[in-house]
Amino acid sequence: MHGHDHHHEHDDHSELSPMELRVRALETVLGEKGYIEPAALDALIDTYQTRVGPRNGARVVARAWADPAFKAWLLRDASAAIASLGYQGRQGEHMVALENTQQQHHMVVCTLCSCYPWPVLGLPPTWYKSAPYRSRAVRDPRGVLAEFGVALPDGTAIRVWDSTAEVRYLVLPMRPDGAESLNEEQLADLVTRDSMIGTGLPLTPPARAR
Amino acid sequence: MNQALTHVTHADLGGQTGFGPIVNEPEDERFHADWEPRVLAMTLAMGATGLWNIDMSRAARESLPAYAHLTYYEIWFEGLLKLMAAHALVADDELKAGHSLHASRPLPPRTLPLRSCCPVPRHRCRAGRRSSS
Repeated sequence: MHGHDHHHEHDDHSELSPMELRVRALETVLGEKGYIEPAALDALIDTYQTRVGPRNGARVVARAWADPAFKAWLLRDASAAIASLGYQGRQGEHMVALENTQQQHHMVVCTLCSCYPWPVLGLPPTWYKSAPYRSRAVRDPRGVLAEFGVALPDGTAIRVWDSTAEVRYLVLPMRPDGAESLNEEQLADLVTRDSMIGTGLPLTPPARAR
Repeated sequence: MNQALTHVTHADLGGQTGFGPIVNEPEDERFHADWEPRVLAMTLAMGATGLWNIDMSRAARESLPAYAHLTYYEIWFEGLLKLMAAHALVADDELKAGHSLHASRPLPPRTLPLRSCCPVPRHRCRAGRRSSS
């Protein structure tokens, strides 16, 4: 604020942004009206800040890498297979798993908004919700991947999936070479959030684990 | 439905150009201001009333004239205000005052207080939504 000449009035909350003030006002009104309970809001926030995130999806991918029967189930009925690991609910009721191969790479976008599989990946990252990614993912996926530092072989086709309010996608990345001897927990550590959206690849196993 | 035909969305970005580079962020980054999680939670909590469904929420957001100039959670906030105004849940003077000034509107009974959307199979959910809207 220094260096600017502000003439508008300041109230008791002058250190708060206009948005902060408006949001606080709404929350107070909703609370006073009995429409919401502050404790319920806190519980919701805690859920998405600490309990639901991409580590859930990483465990799904690790299980699929380790267990061929689970992988087959995941590709056949992703919602049920994922729910069997305890991940289900809002914004992930109808899941589809997309298997990456040498021939076919999958990448997920929501051109219209921010549809994303919350139970397995948590809240979407800012870039996923932003105009640059939403506009370009369907027009120049290879260029978008390059921006994420991913260069696929020319022979690998890229298929882009546009999410809807109903159907949410989880990319099943290829298991990296050298991961054969790892247990599920170690495998999950290789699975990045972006590798499950299709804008990244899993990490390679540490040399000593080979 | 004339309303459907005249619906203008500002959200159909697929294939457009000129929005600049993509900026990645760490996996554990969730929010960028203290008010953002409050907006998320209020949206989910009010969505749980069943007064509107996910498609109505999206329509409220995507038709905002200022859509292109608002951040993600600003869009959610304005969309929520729009839905609540449409259902006469909150009045402008109350938002300005920061306090409830009028009687509350009774809400439908909440059978699933923490679910904003489809906790049941899609076909049943859809039927339930239609009858409630």
